[in-house]
Amino acid sequence: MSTLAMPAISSFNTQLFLGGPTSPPSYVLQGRIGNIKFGGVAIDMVDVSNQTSTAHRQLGTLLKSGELTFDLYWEPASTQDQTLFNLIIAAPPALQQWKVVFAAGTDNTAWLFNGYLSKFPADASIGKALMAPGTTISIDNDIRVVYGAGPL
Amino acid sequence: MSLNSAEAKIRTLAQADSTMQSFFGVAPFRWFQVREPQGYISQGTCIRVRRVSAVYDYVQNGILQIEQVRLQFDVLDLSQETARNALTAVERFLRSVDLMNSNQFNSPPTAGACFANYLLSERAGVEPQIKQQVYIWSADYRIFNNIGP
Repeated sequence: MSTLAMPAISSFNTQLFLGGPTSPPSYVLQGRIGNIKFGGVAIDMVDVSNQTSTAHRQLGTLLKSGELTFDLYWEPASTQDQTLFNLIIAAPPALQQWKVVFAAGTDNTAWLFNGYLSKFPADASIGKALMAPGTTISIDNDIRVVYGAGPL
Repeated sequence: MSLNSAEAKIRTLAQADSTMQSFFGVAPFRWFQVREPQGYISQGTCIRVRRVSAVYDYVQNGILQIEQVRLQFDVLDLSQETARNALTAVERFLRSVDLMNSNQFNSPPTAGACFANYLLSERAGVEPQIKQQVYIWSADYRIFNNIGP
């Protein structure tokens, strides 16, 4: 009996690692993290239309890696979360190495990049879990990719 | 129902609380899950606990151990004022219930530390029965429960 191709890959078990500021990185898996999003991986575009153009002409210029955001179920006293928060309050801010592994165990494609932890919006709303929703990493330079095995 | 369900944990604590015993008895302790068996209302005030819903939080690698369960506490009595007073006592009791850590379930038990139980609403009602009518005072709660091992 033939089987259908996998229609999509679940985002389950996508992992964020903090590699620290020094080389070689020592990657530590970050726990209690949900909703990892890369918002705005894009190329800056310039409109180069001229007098002879009959339609808009575009020129791609610089890669803008944008930001990675994630929701952290915050445990302020935990070692991991102390380390994260200390990145924010350190002066001057230190560029960190990061790694995201998509659908670990299924796809395993990794994105590796450098960035600053640039936002830590702690949220202690009444009747909710203690969180830091939309914690942000501002990505510096480009993103290197190590492709995984694909759907297994 | 697992031993660490919110319903079972609350009943365990209520059974050991002298104020709850004064309203709902000792043997039997008239604190029921989902349905109230026949024949108990004539013995005194009863309480029925129902799970309305539950919210679970997920992270990338699975479910968190925190459960936000919504429970409905129905206090039943032939006197509406007695039912009202009993519900007030239940609400006061729930302010001392901690399902986020195991302090109150240790041997010996120690004081709770985190009383994340939120009263959402209250309402009154009546349950018609063949020979009598039973008054109900209900309270809806959002209760944080640690479902970890």
